[in-house]
Amino acid sequence: MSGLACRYEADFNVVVSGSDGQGACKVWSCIYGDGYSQAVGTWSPLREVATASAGSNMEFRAPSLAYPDVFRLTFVEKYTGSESYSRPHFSFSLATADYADNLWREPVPMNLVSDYGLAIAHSTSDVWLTTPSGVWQASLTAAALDVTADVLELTTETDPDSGRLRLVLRNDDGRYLDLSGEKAVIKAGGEVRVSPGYQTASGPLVSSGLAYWIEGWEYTSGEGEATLVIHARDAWQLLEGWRSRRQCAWAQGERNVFQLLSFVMARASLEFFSAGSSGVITDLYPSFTIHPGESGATAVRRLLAVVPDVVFFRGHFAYIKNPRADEASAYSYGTEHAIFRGRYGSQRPQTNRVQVFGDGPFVEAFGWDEIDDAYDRVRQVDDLNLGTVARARDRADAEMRHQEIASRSGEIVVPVNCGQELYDVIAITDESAGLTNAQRRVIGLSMRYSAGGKAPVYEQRLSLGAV
Amino acid sequence: MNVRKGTVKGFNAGSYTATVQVAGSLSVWLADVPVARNIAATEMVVGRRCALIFFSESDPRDALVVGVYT
Repeated sequence: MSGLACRYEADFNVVVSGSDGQGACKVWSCIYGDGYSQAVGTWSPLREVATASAGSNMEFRAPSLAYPDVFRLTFVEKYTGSESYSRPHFSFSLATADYADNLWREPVPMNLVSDYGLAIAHSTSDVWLTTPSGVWQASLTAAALDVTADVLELTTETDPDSGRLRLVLRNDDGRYLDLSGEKAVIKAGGEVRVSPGYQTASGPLVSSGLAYWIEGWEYTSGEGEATLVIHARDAWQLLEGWRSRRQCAWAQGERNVFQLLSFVMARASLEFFSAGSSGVITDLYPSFTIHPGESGATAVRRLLAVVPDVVFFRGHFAYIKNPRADEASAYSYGTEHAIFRGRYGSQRPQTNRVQVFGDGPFVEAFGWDEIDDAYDRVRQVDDLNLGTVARARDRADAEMRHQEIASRSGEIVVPVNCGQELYDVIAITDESAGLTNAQRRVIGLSMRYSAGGKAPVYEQRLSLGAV
Repeated sequence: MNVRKGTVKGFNAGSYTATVQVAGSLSVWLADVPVARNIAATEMVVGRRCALIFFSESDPRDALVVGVYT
């Protein structure tokens, strides 16, 4: 053992650095129980936070642990190969996770050399990092800036695996030329929260939940106008931005798909919950790896490919949901909620026959109606994780579900529905198109607000799939 | 299918599997990777570069060391 830190918070929460019996150096979390997550007077297993194989010239030491707002952890990563270093790293737990969940953000290197690490201290309002030769302080209160009154245009686009924001702020008097002071929150990585709403008889009411992180901004000028345009991406970009620094590998039976997704989300600081997920996601414990350099988004897409479930985001909260074919509609358009424009289509799925080759089992699934009309389109899946016919059947069904949802197309443009979310099932009544209470699933949405131009705009475009 | 390069860190002649440092993974090795039987055990020298095929991009068991060099 090379280091130990402990923080009491309902249990005795411990961080340990050292090496295991095979010589692999690690940082672990563990709990000496006081009855919250661990029985009184008992030890939990060691749970891995960081790891380095024996002989890799890497070791960890000097952990420190505190709970100013969430669990915050520092430790030193010491590398003795070429370009050797002793560099403190920091990480933190998710706000809603228990210590026992062992869900940590990917440790981040600090611009500091220290063999003995950093100690963390805090009050209710501030946190301090200290070494024998330095002290750093930060407020625990996140600064915020309300730009609502300056918004000229806002466009959001949400797709199944990406989301974008374009925000145009008035800058005719140069109010955003100096991005310091309270405007210093407009910076790379700054969070933009969007809460669309309406003026109602009860006053302005809004729906929160959309969040984006700033990728860049630009100033525009001309035709008597000056603006600041902010470009931001949603939580998928946080996943895209997390790249595995090492070979992550889990043996079959070690973690189920839900737990693997939780790990990846946590590495990108994203909370992860179920909003009605399938049984497969907790029953399937695959052999799985994330290669060095691969993104969290790639890992999530691979995991989602083996289950029927889909992921959507509310801010930095990721939700997984099984888009069941019998899901009831959550909202109706075309009756009380008007439809400005509509386009409704059907299209051939790319696949109407799936062949699944497991580790022994072979299973097929068919979309007979489609095959009867226009012959078969085969997709083949080869996965050693599928060791039983039941598992192979689950996989075939999941593949067919993804195809079914994509078998319809179209879109409607409507006045903004502030509560509309990706993958909701909606009912559409549009007599001109022959639709009465027709069920569709929302597979993409965009919102446009414009206070300028010839006519103000506040509308939403919903991309449609099959239920 | 995914082709990657790596460095041999260990070899088990009994199971004919290798421990490999996949390029880009500074501190963590991938263990129990099957080795092609047409590679002689004497060629699986620690420190040599190797080529790996991941038939499944997600399942490390479904991979193979197909060559060693240097």
